[in-house]
Amino acid sequence: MSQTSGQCLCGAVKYEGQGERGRVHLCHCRDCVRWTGGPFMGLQFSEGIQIADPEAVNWYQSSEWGERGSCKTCGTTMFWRLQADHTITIVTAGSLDEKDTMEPIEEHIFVDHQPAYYEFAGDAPRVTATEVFARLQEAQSD
Amino acid sequence: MTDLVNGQCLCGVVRMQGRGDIVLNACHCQMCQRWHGGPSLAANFDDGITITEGADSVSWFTSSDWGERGFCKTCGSTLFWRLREDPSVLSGEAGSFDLPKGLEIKEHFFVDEQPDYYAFQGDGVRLTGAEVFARYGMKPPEKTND
Repeated sequence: MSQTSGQCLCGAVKYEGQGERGRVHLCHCRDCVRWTGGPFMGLQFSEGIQIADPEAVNWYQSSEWGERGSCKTCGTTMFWRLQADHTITIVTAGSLDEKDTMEPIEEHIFVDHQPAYYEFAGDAPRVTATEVFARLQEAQSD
Repeated sequence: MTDLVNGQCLCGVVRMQGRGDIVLNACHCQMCQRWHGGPSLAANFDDGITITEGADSVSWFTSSDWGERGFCKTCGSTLFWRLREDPSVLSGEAGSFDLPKGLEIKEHFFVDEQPDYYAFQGDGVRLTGAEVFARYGMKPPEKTND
């Protein structure tokens, strides 16, 4: 089974990752938790993704910089992308066809926003919102 | 009198209220993984959930012979699961609600379908798919290639 292909629950949205598949990052911010019902589990491909039928995706602008893509038919919460640069698209880990070879969670972000009713095992770094924004500012100034 | 717990989708078009004692369960089945992008963290309320605003904005997708999944047409938030033969059997998602403190995940369903890249802490009961179907007196569906 391909390690780069993924789809929504009903199959209307299919994509193919380009380049290397990254590791899973979890976002615990309020928006992600509201949208997916729990933490957002996402990963990136080094060279982005190709969506087979872009018309099948509903894009919702959820912040000044980001938008969230879901399947118009079944509602699968599937993508987050940067409005300014669509090559920065994160896909949900659960949408991948092949999950057996995925490595453990690499990082947790917005952990200071995380609800108290769950906690993950493992020692992946826990990063706060302030640290995330500081990191983004640093990246922009490079 | 039971406490009311408010909830909403990400964009706020769909709003709901839960009543009564709350039980949180995680579901790790392949369908929940696909739909939410990870496990479902379901919120069940003893006295039910009422959709108070935006019921027309909820789209229902039939995902199995017995269940339907409801999402917001505007922002795509994955919100509800209900039994087709009795839509009053309606569960929500923990993330939609402004939950009180002190809750924890009581049970984990379909742990035999759970991928290896994550694991939850906590001593919530772990049940396989076969154990879930047996509990609810249901026959497991034929295995497909998904």
